[in-house]
Amino acid sequence: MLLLLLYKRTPLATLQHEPVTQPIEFDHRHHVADDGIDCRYCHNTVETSSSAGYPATSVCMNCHAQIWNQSPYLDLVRKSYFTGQAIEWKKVHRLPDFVYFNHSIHVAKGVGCVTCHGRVDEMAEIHQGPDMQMSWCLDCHRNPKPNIRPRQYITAMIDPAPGQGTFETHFSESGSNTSQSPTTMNDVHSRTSCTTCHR
Amino acid sequence: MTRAGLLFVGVLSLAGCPVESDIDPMMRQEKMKPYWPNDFYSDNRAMRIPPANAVPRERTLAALTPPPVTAALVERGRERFDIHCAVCHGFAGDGDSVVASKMSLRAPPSLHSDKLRGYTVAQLFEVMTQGYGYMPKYDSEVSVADRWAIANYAKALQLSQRASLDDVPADKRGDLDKPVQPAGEKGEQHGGEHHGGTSQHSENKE
Repeated sequence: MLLLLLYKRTPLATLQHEPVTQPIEFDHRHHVADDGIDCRYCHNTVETSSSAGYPATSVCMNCHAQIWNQSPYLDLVRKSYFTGQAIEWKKVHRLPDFVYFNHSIHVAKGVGCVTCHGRVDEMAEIHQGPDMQMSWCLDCHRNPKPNIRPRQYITAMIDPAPGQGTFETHFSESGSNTSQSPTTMNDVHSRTSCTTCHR
Repeated sequence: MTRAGLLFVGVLSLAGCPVESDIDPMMRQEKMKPYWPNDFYSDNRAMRIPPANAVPRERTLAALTPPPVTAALVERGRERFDIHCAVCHGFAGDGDSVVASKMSLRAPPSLHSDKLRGYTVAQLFEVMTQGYGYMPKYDSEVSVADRWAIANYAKALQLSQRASLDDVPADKRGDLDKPVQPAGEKGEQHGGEHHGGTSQHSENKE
């Protein structure tokens, strides 16, 4: 039994760091780092909905009607656009079905994309950064302070390295005014009731 | 077989299992969440497409009339412009962006041409709603309220790019000669845009 419990926590079972091959060779490095496209251009429901949103094929075609519009790499995109058949993107971060995760509240409270998803601008194929065990959720729900940033930096891929401090320490130390702290500004509190996530 | 042996076989058989068939029966449930596949419908989507000619609830007559211009509206417009428009039109609205440089048919125009400077806020709103030429429509990506905000910010951007010294309030002119503070980090150009935003705001109020 102990072995089983241990196995469940290894990356073998949590699928941590496992690149997911998608039906289309979509490269986040190119779209985020080279083109400088904000996360929310494609994932445009992240601030208003539980799901960040997979872009509709029409969003791809906003640019790809003109760019790479002959490329065989994008055959599936054009096929989906003209037939209305959805592209079956593979889910990378999948929580158990009894967890009711909501993107919009995390973004509103100042949890940056990079905090949970890692340096997406450096990933060819997206992989799951954290192990997504309940203890990982609770670490932050018990003490959110180190992971809260001002809302205008929500999609910034800056990851304060260890020793360089977090947004929280940066803002509360540099400014004499502690009301500048993102935790205070975004009204962030610890949330550890079971019903916060489980219903 | 010993207990340890059974365990070993159990773990081995699990190792080949995808996470989908987890030992916890509540892990995967028969229900629908956004973007999930669902065999019930012929197109395999849990999310349904609204019937033809359906009108979103947010598109009321009140929402389609231009809202009063406030600093908060223009500021919201700046944020949304930088997400949805700057990708092609550039952060300064001059049509200079990485994506634009790769467009083979027709690159997005600068917003600072005489023609586009003549556009009213409502015309800019319509371009976003219906598209124009090679520009696709953005009515499903950008909400009605945000389209008004962006249109107003675009007007502010236009003012900022052709601003003269006369547009700067007399008591602020002294600040222009000062060197940019290193703490600002964003540089002179961004600061200039900001002044444009505020001056437009005050103009519309008067």
